[in-house]
Amino acid sequence: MSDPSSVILLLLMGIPLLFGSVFVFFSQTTLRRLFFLMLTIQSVGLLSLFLLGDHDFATPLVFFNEVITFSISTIPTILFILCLAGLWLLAWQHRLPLAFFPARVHAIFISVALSAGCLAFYSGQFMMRYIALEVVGLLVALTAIVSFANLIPFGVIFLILRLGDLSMLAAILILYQPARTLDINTMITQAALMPLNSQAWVLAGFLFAVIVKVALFPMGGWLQIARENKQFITIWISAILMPAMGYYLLYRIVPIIQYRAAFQIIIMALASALLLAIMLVSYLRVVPFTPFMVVNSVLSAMAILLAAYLAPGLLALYLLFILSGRIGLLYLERVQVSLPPLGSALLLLALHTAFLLAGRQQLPMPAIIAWMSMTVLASAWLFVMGQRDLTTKTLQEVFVQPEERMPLTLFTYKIAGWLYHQLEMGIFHDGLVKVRDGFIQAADWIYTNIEGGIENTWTKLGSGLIRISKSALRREEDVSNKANEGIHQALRTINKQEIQTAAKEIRWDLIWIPVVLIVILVYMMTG
Amino acid sequence: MNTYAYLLSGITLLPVLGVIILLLWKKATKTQAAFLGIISETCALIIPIILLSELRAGRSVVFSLPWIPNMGVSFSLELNWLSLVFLITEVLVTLAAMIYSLGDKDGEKRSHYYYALLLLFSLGMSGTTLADDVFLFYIFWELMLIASCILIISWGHGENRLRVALKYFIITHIGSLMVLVCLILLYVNFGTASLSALTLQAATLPVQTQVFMIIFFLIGFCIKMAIFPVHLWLPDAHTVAPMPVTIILAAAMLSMGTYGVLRFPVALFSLEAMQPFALWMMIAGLISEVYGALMALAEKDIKRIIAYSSVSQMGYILFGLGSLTHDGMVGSIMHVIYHAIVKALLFMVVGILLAAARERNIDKIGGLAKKMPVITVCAAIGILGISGMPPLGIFNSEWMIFAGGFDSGFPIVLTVITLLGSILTVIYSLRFFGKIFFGDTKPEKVDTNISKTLLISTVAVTVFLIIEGLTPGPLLAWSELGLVSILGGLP
Amino acid sequence: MEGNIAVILPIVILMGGALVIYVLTRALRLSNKIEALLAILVLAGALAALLNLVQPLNDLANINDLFYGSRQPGGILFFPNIVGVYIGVIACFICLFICAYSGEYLSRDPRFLLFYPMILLTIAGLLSMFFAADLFNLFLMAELTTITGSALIAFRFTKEEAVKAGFKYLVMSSLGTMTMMLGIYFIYRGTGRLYLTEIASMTNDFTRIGAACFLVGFSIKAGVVPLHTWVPDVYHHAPSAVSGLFAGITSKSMLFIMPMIALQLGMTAQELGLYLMVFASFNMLVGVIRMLTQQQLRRFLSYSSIAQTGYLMFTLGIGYYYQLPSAYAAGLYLLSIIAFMKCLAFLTAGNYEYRFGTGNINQLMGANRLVPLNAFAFSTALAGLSGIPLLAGFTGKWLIFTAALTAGDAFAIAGLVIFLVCTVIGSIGYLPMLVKQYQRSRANLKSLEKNQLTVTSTLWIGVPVVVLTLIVIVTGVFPTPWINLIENVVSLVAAV
Repeated sequence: MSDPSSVILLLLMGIPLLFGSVFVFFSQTTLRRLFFLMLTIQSVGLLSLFLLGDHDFATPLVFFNEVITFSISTIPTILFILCLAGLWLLAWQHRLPLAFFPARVHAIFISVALSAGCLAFYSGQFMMRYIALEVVGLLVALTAIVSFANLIPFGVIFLILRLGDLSMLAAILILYQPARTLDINTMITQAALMPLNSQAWVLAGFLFAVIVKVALFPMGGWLQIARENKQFITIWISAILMPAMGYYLLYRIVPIIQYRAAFQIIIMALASALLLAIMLVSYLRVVPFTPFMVVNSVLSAMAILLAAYLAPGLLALYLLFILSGRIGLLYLERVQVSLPPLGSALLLLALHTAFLLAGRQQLPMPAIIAWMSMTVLASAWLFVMGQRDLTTKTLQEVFVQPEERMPLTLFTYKIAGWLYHQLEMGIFHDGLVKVRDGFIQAADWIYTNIEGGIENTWTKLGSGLIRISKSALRREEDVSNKANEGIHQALRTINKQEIQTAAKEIRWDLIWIPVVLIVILVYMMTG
Repeated sequence: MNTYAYLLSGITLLPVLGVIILLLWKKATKTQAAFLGIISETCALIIPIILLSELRAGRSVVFSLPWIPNMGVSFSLELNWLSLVFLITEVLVTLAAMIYSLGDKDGEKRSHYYYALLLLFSLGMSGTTLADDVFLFYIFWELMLIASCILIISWGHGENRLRVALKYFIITHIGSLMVLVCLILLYVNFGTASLSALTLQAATLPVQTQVFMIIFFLIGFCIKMAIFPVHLWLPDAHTVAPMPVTIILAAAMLSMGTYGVLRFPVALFSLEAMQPFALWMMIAGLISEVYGALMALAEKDIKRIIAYSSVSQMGYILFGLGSLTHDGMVGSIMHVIYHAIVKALLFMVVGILLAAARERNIDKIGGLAKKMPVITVCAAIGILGISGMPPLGIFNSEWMIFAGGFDSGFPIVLTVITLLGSILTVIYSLRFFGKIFFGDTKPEKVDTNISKTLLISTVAVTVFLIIEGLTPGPLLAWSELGLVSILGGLP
Repeated sequence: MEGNIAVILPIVILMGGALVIYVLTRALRLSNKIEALLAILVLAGALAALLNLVQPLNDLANINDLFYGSRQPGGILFFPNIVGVYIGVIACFICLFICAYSGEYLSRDPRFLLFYPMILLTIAGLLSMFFAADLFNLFLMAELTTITGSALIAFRFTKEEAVKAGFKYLVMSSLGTMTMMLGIYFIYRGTGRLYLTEIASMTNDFTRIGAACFLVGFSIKAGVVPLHTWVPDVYHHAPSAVSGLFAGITSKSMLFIMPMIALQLGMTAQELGLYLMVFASFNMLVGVIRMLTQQQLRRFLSYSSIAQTGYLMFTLGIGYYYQLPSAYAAGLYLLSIIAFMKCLAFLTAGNYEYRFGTGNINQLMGANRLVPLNAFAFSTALAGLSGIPLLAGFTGKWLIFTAALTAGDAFAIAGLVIFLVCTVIGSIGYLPMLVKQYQRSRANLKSLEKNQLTVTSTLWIGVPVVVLTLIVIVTGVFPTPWINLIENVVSLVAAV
């Protein structure tokens, strides 16, 4: 606890929050200075962490009966340093006031995100990382709010990210069950002992979370929406920090993938399928994604493919490469420079071949084939894509004028169209709205039918009882009326006599009758 | 009996004193009556805190007076960790509701009766948590129902309040009677009404009797918890009741069902005996969760949206209880408390909205974020809280409930569905928040002149929610101790 | 004629008192209030005489010497028993309130002077039925209660409905006594005896037929479904005080005489229990379901009374069928608390009518503003009847549950389920009645204020209502002494 690296880490987490709360009180110029000060401190801290090397330590804080621990290691540090470098780039590039608009809120968002990033990269507990991911997810969604008039971007982003978070939570909790601890290393080790069924669930949960976090097709829609306001510096959170966290998560779950050969094959197949799908869809220009999105998707899918077989060290290297690629692309996009198509394709090919050569010992033959073919495909695709001007035609035009299509068979085109409509459109653009509407419709239906039905049953039960009660009342009244009708007249007469009798005076001359009766009674009783 | 025992009796007797004074003090203004009520409740809050030292020392505080000796009934109260958790939650919620009611328009007329009944309502709940005698338990259990029923009838909104109150009374009364049957069955079998004595012996009952009693107890308490399909009393009662009563109903009274499940079937019988019902409880919880959320999605009345969300949240609690695991049950107890805070907050927000916009239809309210920034922030925190965002409380309890679900030994897919079902909570809460605070401003005339009391209590609850969420430690410890106190050891 | 004169002293005091009151009032032209006071005096005397019997009844060694009458053929014979004394005490106690209440309530009736003697005679007849040890005497006293009862019911003879109700009661109740007569014929034919103690040792099929006839006869007088049709009319149209007396004690106590007779005539406890339990479910269901739609307070109360008869029968049925003394004790307790609550309910409902001239709940909305105490007392009674905790009814409910669950077999549980359903439906009926008095309705309040027949209530009505309310509440909170008392009574019965 007292050694330098732990102190530095805690400071790294604390200082941005401190700055974030101070930001409220300053004007625009001071704010910017403070912001850069914070960035500098963060960078220096991270670099010193990197230099001090690996270190595990525990804090006196407790979360659910478990001591909160941190583990500092090189790979997350490098990832985080890369992220920070991206932030530097973005911050330097835009000195315009626009970049900080509305300055305070965005600065605060970034400081919170920095703090949460530390938690996500260094925490020894899965739950802490989950919390950090949730917080960052919320920040991403918040940055998408442009005006008070429209909350839909926020809602969509929040929902998608939440879905990923929840699947991750499910995976964590399934892991928690045998491990009885939230410590990441123990949990991952324990996962080896779990039955296949549980392992599959865990893997599915984590993988889905990764796919969402790195904005991979078909769950990348949130990033597309978040990029609507890409002139803001907060794009850093959604475009760089969040995927970086996703990559790191992928890096951590590699052991689970590699526990079983079946998982490896499935993951490889899945990644290849995703890769092909995204290439096809973007090649046919049916996706309104920008090149940034598409390239990122392709690279991320390659990373997942690699994760199936590659050793963690090499994978980490590849992840660093993708992340820097992401940052570079984002920067280029913002400065509106496009890469030469041939150069970039060759670069991709070269890099991937290098990776293949480095990892050839670990990869089995099918993986090498898949890897190589995918690389070639991706490079070719990049080249072709670079040749095209993506901005000239809108989506509708492509569909409306089939003769201007690229020379491809109608069949492939249809597949791509189907993929696009079902997966991409189906899940995001209309789909999410549709799902939500569907829920609302279902809810409406249940509300009117089932809820109303139950309500009606109760009401009917009650009214049935009342009806029985009423009909019985009526019948009884009928009977009693009929019975009473007959004796009505007789009663009148009796009444009259009764009244007359009551009106009469006591006849004292008849007093002897009761007297005699009493005498007889007394006689009888005394025997 | 020592001083502590007499102090314990104060939790029930001081509110009674308050009620008597209020009933006699006919000229009390609303503020005076409210302060008297708040003072009584504060006493009921301070006493358990004083008794905490005794509990920490490992002793439970017992107060006992003979009452109907020939029926084996005594006026005995017992404070253990489980009752402490529920008691403090309930008293805090009542206090918050009473402070809130100062700024509320309800209860202007006959306010001494109003506050007397609120006190009785709270008394019924604190008595329920403390009672160590089945006869006494039932009396307090019914007191809570009757007091709330009278409150709804007398101060409720809308023409149909009598019908609503009747529905509320009847449906909950059916549950109470089912509980009563079980209580008397226990009493008949062992000849004593003392709950602690019964807890020791109940496991010796024949298996069929145990099964019968578990079913009846569960259904009875589920009615109080408003689990689908016996939740029908809840939306109407919540809508019609005056706002402070709604807050107490939603935040405190629902949790009494949870207390009942823990105190009776779980504590009386072994967990093995409960095992056959675990799956059904979890499925019922799941259905209730999804159903409540769907209803909240379909609903237009803003008060009813939050009311249906209670159905949904109670589903989580039942799911956790049904898992019959340490995590699940501790999570449920914590969820009760967090849900109480969040629900109190949301209803306070709704109350302010109703006062400001004079409109209940969610389609006719919009764009209030600019006009009411503070309330917007409070509502946002409440919404994030209920959808389970990490630093806020409900996340802490939710993940424990889900962990319990995974631990329960039932197919993983069940818990996964429950977990993914919570996305519905996000959808309806976002719809609620987005429609009300974003978009076009409507209605045009919004009375932004909100009473200070309302604002202060709402902000206070918000702050409390954040604090509670950031420091789950003590709460977790208490909940675990509560579970230990009924099960005798960690399962 | 021989034996202990103390045995018939209460009966003699009541009968003689009735005569004396009538003559005195008639002769001296005393006012209604004075006559009420006189009746109270007589009742107090009878109470003292009844309590005087408790000591000898506890003396089990000499219990056989405690009788009065002649053992010759054709002579009449009285054997007191502790249940009779207990019920008699409650009846007299309630009549104290009823008489006091009538001191004000009957102030608009010119024919008040017959009222109190009739009440006293009814109680005397009831008591004699309990004490009667020979069938002839029993029949005679049953007739006496029938006749005085119908006279009381038709007391407001200017009202057509009242007379009709009286006539209905007369016809039906006479039918009951005639059935009893038929039973007596069979018994006499089979055994040639009329003394119950003698018949008990020589039962045969004839006596069993006779027992069945007695069962039917008492069922009519107790208002057992389907022989209950007189109940709503009578309780609705009789003076409210009379309804309170009938609903509270006279008709329900028939359920306690019935087993005393039937068991001695050779009917087994199981058969009797079965009869009671089966018809109890009809009573409960019919009572609560018919209760739902009633607007008239007293008609509502009369259906609730039918349901309560069912609860009582159910408890007693369990007691006999399963031989559970605790269930019998529960029955006695139930009888006593129902007596007080029902009497309170009818007195307060009567007070509404006396005050506003209407007993329709819809016209009485907001009445609590004008008569807060009465409204409170009425709601206490209704809440008690519906079994809300801390009032007397809840302890009764608890005891019924206990009895049924102690018995524990499927039959009892089935009965309990019906009882539960009825409790729930019953609360649907009680709650609106309870609430509507407090509902604010300005128009209604104005018309009520305008139509008030009297503006102030005197202590004559206030004292009985307040005392009864206190009894209902205090018994609910501290039932211990009462349950002790009943347990003593039951242990004594078991010992005999």
